[in-house]
Amino acid sequence: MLNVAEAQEALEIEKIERPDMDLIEMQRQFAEYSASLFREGFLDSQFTQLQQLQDESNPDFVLEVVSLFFDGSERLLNDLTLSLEQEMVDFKKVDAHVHQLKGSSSSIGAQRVKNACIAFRNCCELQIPEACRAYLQQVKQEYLLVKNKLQTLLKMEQQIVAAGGSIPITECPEWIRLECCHRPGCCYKPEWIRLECCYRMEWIISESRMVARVDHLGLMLLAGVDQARVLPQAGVLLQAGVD
Amino acid sequence: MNVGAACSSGGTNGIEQDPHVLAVDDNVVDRKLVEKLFKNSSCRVTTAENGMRALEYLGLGGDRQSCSSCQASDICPSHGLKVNLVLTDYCMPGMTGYELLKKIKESSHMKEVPVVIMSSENISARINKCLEEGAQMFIQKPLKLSDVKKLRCQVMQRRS
Repeated sequence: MLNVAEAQEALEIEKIERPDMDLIEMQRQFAEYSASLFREGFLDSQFTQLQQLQDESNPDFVLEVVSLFFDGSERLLNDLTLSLEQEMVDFKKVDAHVHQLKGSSSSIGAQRVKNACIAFRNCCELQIPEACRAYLQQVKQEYLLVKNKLQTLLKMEQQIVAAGGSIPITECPEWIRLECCHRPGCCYKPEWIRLECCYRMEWIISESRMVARVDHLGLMLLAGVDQARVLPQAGVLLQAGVD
Repeated sequence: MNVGAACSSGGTNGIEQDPHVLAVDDNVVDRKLVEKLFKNSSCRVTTAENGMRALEYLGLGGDRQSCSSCQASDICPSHGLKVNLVLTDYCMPGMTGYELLKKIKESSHMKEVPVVIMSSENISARINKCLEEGAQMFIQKPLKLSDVKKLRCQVMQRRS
């Protein structure tokens, strides 16, 4: 059993022999964090486009675009809050603001903000102030989440660059986890299983007669498969029968 | 690495001049994205935040129409670089991309310049309206590098 002093010495020796150990660890953590953001739908492939555009002629490109997004979004969210507090709400103005926010979030790949804006706009058409305020809250929440995550990601990136390393680029995965609306712990022998991607509203086809289990997070696991493939406009969605 | 101080582009072989694009969008994030997309594709870019500014830059309605320097070469000492492509957002306050398209196509000296419309919404009536008015193409936002490369190809083909 090593004592503390010996352990520290061992670590120092290891650092000298492998001086880039910290850098590798940082890059690994960055890649993992980045992948989780894509997996959880916070970011989509448009963000990867931004990262791929960054080069030596503009090494802070992503940071600059993201900063513009933050500034603009906060202004828009303030304007939206004020507009919805008016006696006579100007829904045309509200819609125009949401359209702007939807546009910029889409351009940087902030997928969940974009989808929250889409839902908000649908609500605007109904012209019900309370409902719109609720949707605005959703948008704000998603915005704050992605802001926090992007700031974390960019900070990790800065640390890697400062240590002289390159930034690993994560491809947006084609496979994503879907949320299931059924009770956890149940087993289904589905002929019809309902799966909904809350961010993309796309359906998937599940093979009939497949045994599936809903795990404790409410995620549908198709037998032998960790994640399900999302097919656009795939058609039927179904009811589950409890086994 | 930036080659060539004067141009806002990566620079190509110098035999053919890099195309000059005027990008019009009221959204600052989109302007920044479009600018980088074109710069990374060896194009010179000028951005405008609305239709009025775009028209001013193009010198429409002004003295650019009768300027002999403009007719003669790609660079005019008073009016700057010739524009090879106008890329405009559809939804803009004040003058929409459609209205800007119309003004360009109505002008005598700019009507040959290709105009491409971008929109986040895929509304076929809107698309048809723009194509009928003479838009070269309609592109769905958000813009990607593959879209921009395609556009550059088309512009270069037209020039040769």
